[in-house]
Amino acid sequence: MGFTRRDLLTFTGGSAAGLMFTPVPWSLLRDTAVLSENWPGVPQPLHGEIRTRYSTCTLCPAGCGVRARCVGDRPVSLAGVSGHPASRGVLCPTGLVGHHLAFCRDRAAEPLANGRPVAIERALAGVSAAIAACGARESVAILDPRPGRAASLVYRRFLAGLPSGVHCAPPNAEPYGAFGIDLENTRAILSFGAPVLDGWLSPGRVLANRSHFQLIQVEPAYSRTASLADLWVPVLPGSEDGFAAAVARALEGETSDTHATEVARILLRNKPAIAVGGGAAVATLNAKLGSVGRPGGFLPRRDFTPVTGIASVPDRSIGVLLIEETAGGEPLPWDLLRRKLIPQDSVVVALTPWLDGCARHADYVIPAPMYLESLDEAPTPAGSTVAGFSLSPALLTAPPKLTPPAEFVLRLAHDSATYPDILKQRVAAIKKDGRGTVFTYPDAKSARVRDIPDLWKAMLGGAVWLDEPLHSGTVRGADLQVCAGPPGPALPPTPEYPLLLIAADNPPPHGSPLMSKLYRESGLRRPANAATVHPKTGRDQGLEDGARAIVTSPSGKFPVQVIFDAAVMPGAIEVVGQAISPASIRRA
Amino acid sequence: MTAITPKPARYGMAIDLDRCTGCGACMIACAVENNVPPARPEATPRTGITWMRVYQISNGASFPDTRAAFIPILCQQCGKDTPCAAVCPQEAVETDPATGIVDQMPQRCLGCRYCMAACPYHARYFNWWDPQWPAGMEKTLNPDVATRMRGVVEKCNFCHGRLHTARARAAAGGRRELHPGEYVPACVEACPAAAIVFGDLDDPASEVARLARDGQSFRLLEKLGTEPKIYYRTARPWVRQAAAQQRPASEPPERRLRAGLPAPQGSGQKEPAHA
Repeated sequence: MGFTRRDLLTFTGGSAAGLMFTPVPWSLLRDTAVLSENWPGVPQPLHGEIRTRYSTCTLCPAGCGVRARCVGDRPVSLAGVSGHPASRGVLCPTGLVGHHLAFCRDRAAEPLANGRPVAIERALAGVSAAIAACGARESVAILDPRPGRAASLVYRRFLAGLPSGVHCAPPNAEPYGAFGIDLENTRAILSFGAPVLDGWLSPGRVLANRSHFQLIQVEPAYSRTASLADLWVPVLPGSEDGFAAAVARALEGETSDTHATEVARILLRNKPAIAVGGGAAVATLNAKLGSVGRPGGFLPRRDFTPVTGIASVPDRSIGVLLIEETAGGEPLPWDLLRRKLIPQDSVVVALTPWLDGCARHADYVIPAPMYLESLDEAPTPAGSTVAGFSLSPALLTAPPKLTPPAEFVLRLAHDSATYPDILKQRVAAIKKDGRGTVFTYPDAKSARVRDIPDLWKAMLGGAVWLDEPLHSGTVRGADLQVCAGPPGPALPPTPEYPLLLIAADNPPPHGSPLMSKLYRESGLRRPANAATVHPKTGRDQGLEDGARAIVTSPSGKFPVQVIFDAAVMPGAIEVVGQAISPASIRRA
Repeated sequence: MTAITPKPARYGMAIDLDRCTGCGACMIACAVENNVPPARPEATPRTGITWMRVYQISNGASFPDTRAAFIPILCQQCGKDTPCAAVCPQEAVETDPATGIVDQMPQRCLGCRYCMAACPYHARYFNWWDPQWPAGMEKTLNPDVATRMRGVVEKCNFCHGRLHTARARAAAGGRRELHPGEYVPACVEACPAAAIVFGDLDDPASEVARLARDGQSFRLLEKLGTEPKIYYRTARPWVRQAAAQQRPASEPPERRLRAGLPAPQGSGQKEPAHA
């Protein structure tokens, strides 16, 4: 019996079919999958020595301690520093991905003059010439987002040498002025729109004390803070001051409305209590509560230097405006800034890591290092009852052509000192005073300033200096300012603008691409172009859920996508980051 | 050289929904730790990858009686008849008997997505695209976690890289037991409200075991009998009822309202005081 061609084909075909019923093909597939796991196009993490380095976050005024896990010198993840007096071991979502900011697309990479790249020397010469050309009536102003830093001292010194220099701050840069909040001893917080549980002061400190205080949120929108408050009092937009006055009356036993009476009862039952956010009526309420200068309330600290608010600078008075924008800072109100400039004859210089924001309106853009790219400083943490200071050492290598804002101003002033020199002087002054304690991040221990031989070295390794507390009393000439809360009474709706525009959330800060992705996919943050309305309000305006529409207010119009949400106050339109105003909405 | 066998444990979580502020720090920390790439512009909530996703849920009532809560959803680490493991033709899903952790091995995954269809919690994600990071950002990837390629499924594994690191550290010290707190996933470490407690459910002395036994604790879709190891806690009855729905909806709120979530308990605005 011979072996024919047909037998060969039958055997081959039968073997192939039989093989399909064995684990072999599946193992082959699995092995192929293993091989393809390291496809050349798939980025692979770098490997190297794992080290821990420390810094301080400068993305907001909270001044949180940062522990960076690094491969070699490069941070791969950030976390809080356990026991840190301000942050209590916590970083906010933006801080957790602070090391990604340097890789954002819209960052400024080289100096620009009227949109064209120039050498830093030419930019410097141009700005110097513009400052020299300013007459006595034209002021030179520096907008300082964080007054109280060593950099602020550089700005003040430079401006003092000019005929008309103005050191000013954006609205709400110093929400509590010379006071901090003794949160550890507060038993009740009456908040007028302040985002107490959503990024207020140092989030770690607030949340660590959350179980110790009752929280009453007075706000028209059902915000994240409102959803977690012990009591949410929904009020009409713009009526917060009226409600504060009603609570003040109820505190004195006068008859008031039901909500105000209940709030007053809670405040009296949980003393010491404070009121935050809002306007003048809230300051009066704090006086009634006896919360100023007492434990559990607003306590003064030593380091406050008053600074002019940009709103109080006369309109059309600034000839040259230098704007420092920090990474992660709140967007600056360009409409307000523009009103302060001399029309057609002013020069705007943006000292910024970003190409958007004020850089879009600037004659000169001086690119600043991004967070963690250069040695920086964190002044007293927001709301702290004691003065503080820490360094923020660089963890990333900065690209060339970047100039720290303080360094640029030093060069304008023909000062040979560098920004690190100024920081060294600040640390030396703390050491000389010998007051207070230093908390060092690596060992989470506190020591007296005078017991630390090399304070500069300790601070470069990760540390925060804290002044001695004043405990009580007042600071001469420094009245209690109140936090930026809701604006004053809104204009009433009119037939033309039958609805009220209110802010839903703060606009998202610059952040890692990861943040925008995760928030978009989870739906935790509303898109900037979303207008959320109550379903009944929407239908009354002839809209459907998901429709495209135009919102019009006295200050302009903008396109939105409508979202129906029964949680929104009827008659209101919630839009991210919008000021309270009468408005209308119609289908696009 | 003597190998040190780790002491068996059954790791689990207790998440306090009354503490969760919905800040999303857990999602961010998870994505950084596990090298989850930024989304492509065309990605949607269904096609994006988020091992841990925080949803906002509502009681469905209208203003001013509306109430909301935040609920982080991650792989529930089913302890019995794990649905995804049962359907995987590639044995790419495995429950580690030493830890109870349900692990996904992307190296074995063929991308059939049976596991995604089987998962009652929708906590598995498919790589629709090759992972990409903005130029330079790939240098910030965690060296302890491999990136995954297009065409495979991935999910939460309680930060397995951290478990290995902790074990290596313990073994270097001659220990076979991990100290409490020596191994915690990134989300637990990052939560600013300390809403997530992690530990060994089989250790009666552990905080997570105590919380799991607490009367306020419940598990998602308990009726399926998959014995998840993620416990949620709340004192608010409506949150418990809303969380029992098939999946906390990420749909527009009015549709959530139409879904017929329970009415609020009482008409007062007072929520239970924070513990």
